[in-house]
Amino acid sequence: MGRTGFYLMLFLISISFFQCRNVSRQDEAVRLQTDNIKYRIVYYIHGDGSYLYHDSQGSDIQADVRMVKQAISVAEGLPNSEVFIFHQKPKRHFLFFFPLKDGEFYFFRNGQLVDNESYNSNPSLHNLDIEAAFFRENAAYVQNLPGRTVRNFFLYYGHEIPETDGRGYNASYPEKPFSIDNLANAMQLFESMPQIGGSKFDFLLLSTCYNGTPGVISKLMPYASYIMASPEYLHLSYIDSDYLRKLPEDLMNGNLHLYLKQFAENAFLKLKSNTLTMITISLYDADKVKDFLNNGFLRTEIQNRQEEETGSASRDSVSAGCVDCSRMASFDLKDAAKGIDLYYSPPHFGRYKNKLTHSGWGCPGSER
Amino acid sequence: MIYIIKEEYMFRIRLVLALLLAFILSQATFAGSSESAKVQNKFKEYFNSISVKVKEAATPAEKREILNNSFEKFNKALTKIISMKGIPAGDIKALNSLKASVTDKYNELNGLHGYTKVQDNQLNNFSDYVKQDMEQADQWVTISVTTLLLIVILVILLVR
Repeated sequence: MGRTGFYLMLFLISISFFQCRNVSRQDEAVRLQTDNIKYRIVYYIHGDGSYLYHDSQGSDIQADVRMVKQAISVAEGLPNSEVFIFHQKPKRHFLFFFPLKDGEFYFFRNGQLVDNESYNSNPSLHNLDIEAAFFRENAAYVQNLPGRTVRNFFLYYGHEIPETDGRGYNASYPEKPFSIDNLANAMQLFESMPQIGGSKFDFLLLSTCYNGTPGVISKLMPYASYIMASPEYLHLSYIDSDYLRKLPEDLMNGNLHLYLKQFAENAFLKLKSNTLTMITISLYDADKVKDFLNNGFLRTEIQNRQEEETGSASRDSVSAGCVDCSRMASFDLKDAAKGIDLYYSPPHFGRYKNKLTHSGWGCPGSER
Repeated sequence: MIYIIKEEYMFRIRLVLALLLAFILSQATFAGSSESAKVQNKFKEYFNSISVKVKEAATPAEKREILNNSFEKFNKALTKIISMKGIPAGDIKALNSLKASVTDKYNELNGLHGYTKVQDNQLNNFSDYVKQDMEQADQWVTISVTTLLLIVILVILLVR
């Protein structure tokens, strides 16, 4: 290589170096920019259990892993947002004795990855304390101004969260409970952070089976303005969150409800395109469903049925399933419909294939 | 000559030892994973394999036979376990619920007990429905690992 070649190579290297530096600085500036933040989205993806399912070709899919990939992809495409992704994995050991970390945390701001680290979630199984600490450390302080409010979303992906007890929820740590009470405590913990400043989450998604019940919504409505959940089975292909990519620049009060309806409809259509079982997605407006939930007769009837279903105290904590609340004697269909947007499709086969309506509420009980 | 043979022999021993070590390491990395989740996955794989077989079968009669055999074998195994001594009451309740769910599917496939018989051109979809319904069946979660293992042995290993 001659002298000219040497200088040419040096020139090219220096150009590429400056280009890299420029990109890096740009990225850094984007990561640090916080005054533009309009959305904070927390994904909690539970993977400590059996989350295997198969598509129509028979290929294996791990529901939690697929959802983490989707969450990352959503986060990368969201400007003006902070996205926190927590993935709870099963307990594993290296060489039989050395425990591996069972939690993975990703933090994106303005579409850029700011932090990704593994952590031990074991001590935090009760109220997601460690996850809340990650949030506290990373979430930016953004002052809410008239006409500009940061929207906070919490998305939970996993199996049905039991209303009480919760032992056995985490397959690797069956002795450590996780129930709706624990989730409510966790949400309270997140909300107490100075970044959220005691206000409610705008939206809580429970992408789980059987959590669209009067009991669950009563316990969670102090912490979220809108709650989306399924009162029936929910296939592991889950309530899709891809529609978050279409978050508008601003979501004022009325628009939030409209946007969440579109989110639910999009998820419903996706489920409908790849599942043949029953699909029921309910969007509950916490303020409007209050009256219905305060119906004393219904609460007593639910309580009695719950005791009847779960039997003795030694019975495992996992629920015995749900049925449409319209079967309950004290259930008023008109009252129940207030404050709910329902997306329902009967199964293609089975005893409910001709059941064309659903109340949007699940009550304790089994199908037979 | 002897030297070359010895070298080759030693190489093979080393190769076998390396493979063995790799196997142990790969197993050891995942040691401690939840047994109940692994066993539940076995059932999901079982129903998935039935759905795959149904789709591969050439005629509706073959498809029906695959589905009917799998339902019968599954319920036979469940009946056997339910009648065993020492099975916890909670497990028996969940097993009965599973059995009823599989019986419903058998009845629907064959048009029994008030069900409309699944049409021939719907058999592939029906096998997918069965797979999806069993994948999300909450009863799996309530059954103890020991009982689940018994079902695996009876259904998946012995009656295949």
